[in-house]
Amino acid sequence: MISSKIVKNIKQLMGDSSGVLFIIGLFLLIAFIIMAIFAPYLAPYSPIKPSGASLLPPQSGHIMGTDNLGYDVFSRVIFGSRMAFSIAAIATSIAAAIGIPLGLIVGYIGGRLDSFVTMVMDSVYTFPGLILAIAIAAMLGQGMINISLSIAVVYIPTYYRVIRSQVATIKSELYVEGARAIGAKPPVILSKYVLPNVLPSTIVVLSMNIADAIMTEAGLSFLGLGIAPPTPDWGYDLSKGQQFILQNDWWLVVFPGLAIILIVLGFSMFSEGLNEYLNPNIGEKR
Amino acid sequence: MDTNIEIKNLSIEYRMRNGTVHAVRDADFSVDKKETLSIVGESGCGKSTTGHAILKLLPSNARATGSIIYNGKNILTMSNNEIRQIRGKHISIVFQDPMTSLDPIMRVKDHFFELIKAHDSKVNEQEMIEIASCALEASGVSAKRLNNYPFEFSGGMRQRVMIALAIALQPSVIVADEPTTSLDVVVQEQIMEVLKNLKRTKDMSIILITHDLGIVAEVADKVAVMYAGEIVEYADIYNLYKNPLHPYTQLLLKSVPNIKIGDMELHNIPGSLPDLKNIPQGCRFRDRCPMVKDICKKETPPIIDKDGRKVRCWLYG
Amino acid sequence: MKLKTYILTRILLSIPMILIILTIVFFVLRVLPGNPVLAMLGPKAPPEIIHAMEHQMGLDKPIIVQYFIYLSHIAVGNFGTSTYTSLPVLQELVQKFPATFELTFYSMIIAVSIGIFFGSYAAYNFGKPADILARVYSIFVYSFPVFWFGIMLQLIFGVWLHWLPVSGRSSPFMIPNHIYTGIYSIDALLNGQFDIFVDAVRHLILPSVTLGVVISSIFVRMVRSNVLLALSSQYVIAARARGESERKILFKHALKNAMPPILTIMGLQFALLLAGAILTETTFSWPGIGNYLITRISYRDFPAIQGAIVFFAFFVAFISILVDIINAWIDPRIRY
Repeated sequence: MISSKIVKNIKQLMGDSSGVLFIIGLFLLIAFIIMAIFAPYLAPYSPIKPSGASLLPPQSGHIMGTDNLGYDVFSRVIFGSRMAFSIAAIATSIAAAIGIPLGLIVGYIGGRLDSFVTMVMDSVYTFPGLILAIAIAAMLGQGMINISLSIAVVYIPTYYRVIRSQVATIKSELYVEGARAIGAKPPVILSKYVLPNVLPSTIVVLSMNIADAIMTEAGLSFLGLGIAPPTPDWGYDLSKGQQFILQNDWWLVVFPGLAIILIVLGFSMFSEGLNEYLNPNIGEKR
Repeated sequence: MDTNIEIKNLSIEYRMRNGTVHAVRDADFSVDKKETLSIVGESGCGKSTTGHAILKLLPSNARATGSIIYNGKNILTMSNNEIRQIRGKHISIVFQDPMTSLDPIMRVKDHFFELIKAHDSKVNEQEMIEIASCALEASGVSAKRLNNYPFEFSGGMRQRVMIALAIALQPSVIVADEPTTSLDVVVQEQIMEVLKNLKRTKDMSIILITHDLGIVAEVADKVAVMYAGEIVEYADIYNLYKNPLHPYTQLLLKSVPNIKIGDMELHNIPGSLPDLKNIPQGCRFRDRCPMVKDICKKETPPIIDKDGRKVRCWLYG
Repeated sequence: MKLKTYILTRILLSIPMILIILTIVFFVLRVLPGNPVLAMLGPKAPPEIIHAMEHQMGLDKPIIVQYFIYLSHIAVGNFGTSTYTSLPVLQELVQKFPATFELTFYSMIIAVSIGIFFGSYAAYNFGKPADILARVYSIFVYSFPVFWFGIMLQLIFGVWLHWLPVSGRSSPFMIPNHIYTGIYSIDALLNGQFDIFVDAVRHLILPSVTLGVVISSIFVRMVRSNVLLALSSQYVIAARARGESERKILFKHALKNAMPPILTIMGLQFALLLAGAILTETTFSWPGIGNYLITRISYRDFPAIQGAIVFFAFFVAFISILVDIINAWIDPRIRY
């Protein structure tokens, strides 16, 4: 029976701590995905229209209160998940779409090209990502695509480094040398032998990366470089809410912040659990 | 002669995620002053575990029962502080792998200082250097190298440093856990020379753990042959080589073309060690034994006294 | 190799890295769409003024010429003139730097102390409640957005409890009489102005705890895994066999051997610390370079934006060199 198999697998997962992490993370992620997809049905009000008096504390009808414009905080938190997911998805896709092929090809070719590209990537990697993203975002201006691009640039080296180092080891393995010896062309070797081997770590890096991307996006919007208001966005709502904490309007900052924490927690727990399954050896690499 | 250390009914288990490994069962032996006892056996037979138990160095998932009596006290029941005072000063150990046994970022002299200070905080630096130089010279290392870091030494020289550390405070027992296994043959010879000299000049007992019967013949007074966690034969060196009683010992000695054998030759005995997680009833050697009888499959053989020697085999019961 | 030679080699090796970062910064700020002059003057500015401005900033020259002018200016410490204040950017940066340094320094101390003590304590109690607590701590705190955590602390300790100030570096008129380093907590002590020292520290607590605690999550994790690795090594067992006490084994052998990888990772995380500093400075209106950068972005002050980012690049390079030197000093094997 399938159900008994699932129960058995879950039991096995609960056996050690990484399994517990994986399951909690998975549940958090599913909750947020549902929230993002069904936002219009879940949210009691429109997130960009006043729905009551301004700065109402949490109460029935407005369980997370309202902001200075009378927008319902709960509705904005729910709709905010859409922005977080969209930007994280676009940014990581762009970063992966550039970083992975680059790592594969450069790592496979090796030589001087490899040392040069690696040096460039390492330099970007050691530079504070947020600062680079701030610079790019400041030039490109607000907007979903612009923000996604600024974040993507920062994370290209993350993919490049993981893929390149694995390709460098795999390409000298006997089975790859064997394939080369019988005349397999580089594209065939890369797609047939190398890619399947680097895939597990790529998946882990991808899911860790989404957490970082969400965090960076929140940071950029907090600094006013993100999405143009009044589009609901957690980071932006936080920075706006901060203006009112001196008068003790705590609900404006607590709830969007908790949303960021929970979604980031979901992704990092999920990826950590995944990591211990797929490749126990890359361990602490981030 | 006086007994220096006595092991009685020592059993050791490791609790693993997938079961309990019975690494040592019911081991009995004793070492007198100035005597060298050798524990011989294949890898995985529990000889190193026994050696580590003598200093209570077993990992936290291990559980040891029985007793290891030193100076009238049972080491296994000692507190952390009590055993700490014995380690290095009364009983010391030389490990198998000299490459990783020295702290890579500490100078050689700091290893000695640490040892000495752990047991007597009042010693001044001049005295400590004297003790260290003395021990190093006795192990064949120039005292000039006290300021060097471990990575500046070869494997053989590191093992000499380890021996020097083990003898520096003149302990009464030294456990040498396969001290030459990871070294090349020429260096092995030199290290054994150092150990033999110690025996002559210093007043200490050596427990030599090895799989190399050649080394045993060179230095040991008594031999305990271990198989799958049990001591199967316990005799003095002369009798053991002249007239081995246990079939395992006989096979071991037969597989030696000359007296020098390495690790490989031991595997000439067909079959392999039983799974120490679930040990079947009866004798642990029965699947590989050429003289196996019916009773061997049903009952575990006890230790049998035969002409003042001890053997765990139904052939003599 | 002598330590001095090593340091020199290490500095030389970091030049290409700095060059690459400078090139990327140039590319981002000059080549990406978004005309700085247009952005500064607004789209309705008359073309003559735009051209005059472009000429003044050297933007009418070919891009490759602009690139070399940019590099040569940075090489001699010319970071340009702010279009907002008309002051030399370098002078403004130098004036803002002590605040950023003070914040990052104290945050680093907090993060490193939590990381080392909690991390090695967890490793030493592997599998026990303290260890599980450390793992939960690092995974939870890692997901705190710096600015959110800062706002929470402001709310709790500033608004609710009224214990600590929520913004700025000092209360009005509470600035040290004589500025030696620009770091108020130190200058006040050097002047013997104890009340000003207390004021400076009170302002420092919330921002540096915010940044320090968030960064510590990574440190706890790194220290734990590296100490765990060192604790399982043979030289630790050998030290135990010599009668060394467990406390000394943990600190003298395990932690010291775990230090080079920990330091390397901490050096890498310094970049994260700086990124966090920008957010923390914004959250607490802390008048450092991060705050300067964000303010000047809103004024479209491009020389200032470029200068601040280049300044961060040099700061990161400096820290990574420093970390490598400390490592070489701890572990003699690196030098040879």
